[in-house]
Amino acid sequence: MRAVPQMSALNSRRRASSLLVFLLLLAGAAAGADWSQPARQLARKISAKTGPGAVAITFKDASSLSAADASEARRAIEQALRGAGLKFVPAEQSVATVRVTFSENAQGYLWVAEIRQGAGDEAVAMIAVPHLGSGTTARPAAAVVIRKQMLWLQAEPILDVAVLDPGSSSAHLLVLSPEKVTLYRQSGGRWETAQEMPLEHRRPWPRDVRGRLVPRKDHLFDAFLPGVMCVASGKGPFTLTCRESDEPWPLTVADQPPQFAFYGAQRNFFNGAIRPGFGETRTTAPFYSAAGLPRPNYTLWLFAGVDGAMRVTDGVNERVIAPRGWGSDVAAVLSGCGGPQALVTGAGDAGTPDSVVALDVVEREPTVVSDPLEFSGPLTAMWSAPSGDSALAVSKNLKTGNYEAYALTLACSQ
Amino acid sequence: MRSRWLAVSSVLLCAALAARAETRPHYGGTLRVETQASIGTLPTPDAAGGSNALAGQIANLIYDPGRGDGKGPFRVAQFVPGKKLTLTANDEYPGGRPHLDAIEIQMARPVREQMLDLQLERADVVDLPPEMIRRATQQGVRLAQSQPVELIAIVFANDDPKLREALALSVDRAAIFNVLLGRQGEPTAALLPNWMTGYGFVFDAGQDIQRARQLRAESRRTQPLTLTYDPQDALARAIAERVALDARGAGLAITPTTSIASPDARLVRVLLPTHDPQAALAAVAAALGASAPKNDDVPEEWYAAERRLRDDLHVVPILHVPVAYGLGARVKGWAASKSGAWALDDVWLEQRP
Repeated sequence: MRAVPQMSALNSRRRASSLLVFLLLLAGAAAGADWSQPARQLARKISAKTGPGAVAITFKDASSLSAADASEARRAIEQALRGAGLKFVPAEQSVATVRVTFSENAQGYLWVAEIRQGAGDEAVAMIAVPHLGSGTTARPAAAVVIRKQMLWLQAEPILDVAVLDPGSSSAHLLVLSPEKVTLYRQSGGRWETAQEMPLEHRRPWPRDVRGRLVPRKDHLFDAFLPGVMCVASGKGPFTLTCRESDEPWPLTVADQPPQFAFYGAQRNFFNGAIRPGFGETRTTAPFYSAAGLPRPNYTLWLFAGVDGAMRVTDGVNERVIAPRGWGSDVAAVLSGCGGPQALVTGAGDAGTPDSVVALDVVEREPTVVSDPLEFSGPLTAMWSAPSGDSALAVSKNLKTGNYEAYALTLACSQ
Repeated sequence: MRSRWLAVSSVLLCAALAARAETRPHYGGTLRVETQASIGTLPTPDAAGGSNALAGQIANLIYDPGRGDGKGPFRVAQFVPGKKLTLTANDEYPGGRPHLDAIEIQMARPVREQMLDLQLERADVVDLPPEMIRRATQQGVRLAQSQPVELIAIVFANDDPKLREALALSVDRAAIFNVLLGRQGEPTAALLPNWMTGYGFVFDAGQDIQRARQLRAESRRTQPLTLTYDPQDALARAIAERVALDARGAGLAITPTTSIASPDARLVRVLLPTHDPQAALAAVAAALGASAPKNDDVPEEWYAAERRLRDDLHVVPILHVPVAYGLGARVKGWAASKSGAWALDDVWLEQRP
């Protein structure tokens, strides 16, 4: 693997590269649930109280384990108990009864064994079992399928994530958090921290702080934050120079003609001013996010407005669609299934799970072309990837409180 | 065929999205909160997580010991002790300026008037006692509800283990849960709720009248037990009366009362200010006048410590109930909280034309 200081040579490949190989690499690394270790731990505790011999055992699942996982966990415990010299018999023939409950608390799973021997007191054994990750594909039902692949998760909010040189052995990951940018490198199939770069800013960030990472050819990246722009150096160890700035944020991806929009330094939206603009248009209503869908001679823009309306404009005509009917984040994915499509968030309060659907926009008429892709919590960010072949979505997992960043790609339904 | 299916699918999905339209937070507006509780003085920073729930909620809004100068997301603009508190957004809050411009908290407001104000859109957030949750749901009130975080229990002044166990076995917790609480919360024989520990079900909360009678017969007590409750608390009164009724079935005489200096037992409500089992157990101990139990960071140790504390403090747990609020339609961004704590610095108000 190349060292980070040599990374500037990689930049030329970033924009054109595909996430596919990288995502496959990650998918291959994902492991299925293995309950054998906690099963052995619980079996040791049970057998320490019962000793070897005949026991009657029952199981109850009072947790969020899937039926398959509960069945697998049960099998693993029974196997471990047999290994400890216990054999299973009906209650009337047993010297002890064991009732195992797969329970759960705020920290994770809790497997509890209540053990009763004769008329004696009940003994209790328990072990804590951490939650494991879950699968991540949407139901393939409609014309387009949205696939999500987890890129990163952390307790701290994630504003944006960029994958540098995906698919290669020297892939790197940039994670933008409210107070720092972290560069990760691959090592033995895992991500390890290569460098942390603190973000300097004089004023507190506005609540619902948002930010964007833009990989560059001549230096590692730019980071756009409310009222602040940060520029990373070109060679490692990298330095990050931040300054107060009203520099507009880039809206376009891949090889689209550049468009920039001005972001409110004290708020969480773009104020509507666009540069250079399209046609005679230099402003639109304040908006949260925008997606540019390339057409043969122009770009069709979707703006998710602060007023809840979605605006579709080609620079000449603007059409308001589904007022208040959409979420506030929209992103473009330029390839996947038959051309550029937009992803738009569903709705939901900060305490409810969110979803994303894909839209085809033909004749400025949006059509939903996918089933909703569900998330385990509200989406806190969604941006088009700089390469245009995917989108980055960040969800706050309501169960764990962690922020989870996903790459969203599109495929045709089989 | 496929295009027709997609068209139908599109309509349905658009309708679903439109029905729950949402955007990123808006800035501005004043949130109007009404509550039964009141405070006579402004809370100190250490009120957060303390036994006075309202003081703790307000302390969380105006202090932030973990950040900068310790000032929270809101500043106090006006305080009328026992009646009204007005807070304004702190533009310099290191955690980010809140979306709301201000919060007005009306204190000592009767529940009935709170509900009326909510319906007339004169209030945005009101208290909703657990016994009213079911009716409010039927009336279409928008709810924000915590996990069951409040313990309702009977605490004996002097211990007679057989008498205490007889009472514990005589109480029909399921009936209290079904009838008095409208199936809100959960019956329990544990100090801490099952969602928090994962082992609460091990404490048997079932009714066993035969065993209760047997234990009652083994006890030497002959006089009726006095059981006190808060006279301002309608739910506590209903539960005390139901407990007395159930106990009678086991041959145990209990007199519910509000006016006795040294009762044999008292009905208590203990709010658990955290969802960390060790800290919550310490809070229960503190509320009942005991020191925090020592235990390791292992569930079996929590379980053993809880069992010891329950027996040492002579406690008969009855129910865990949630904390609930009624919310106005324009309130957005109310984060679901396991503990029932306000998270008003993240709330925003929908703009209406």
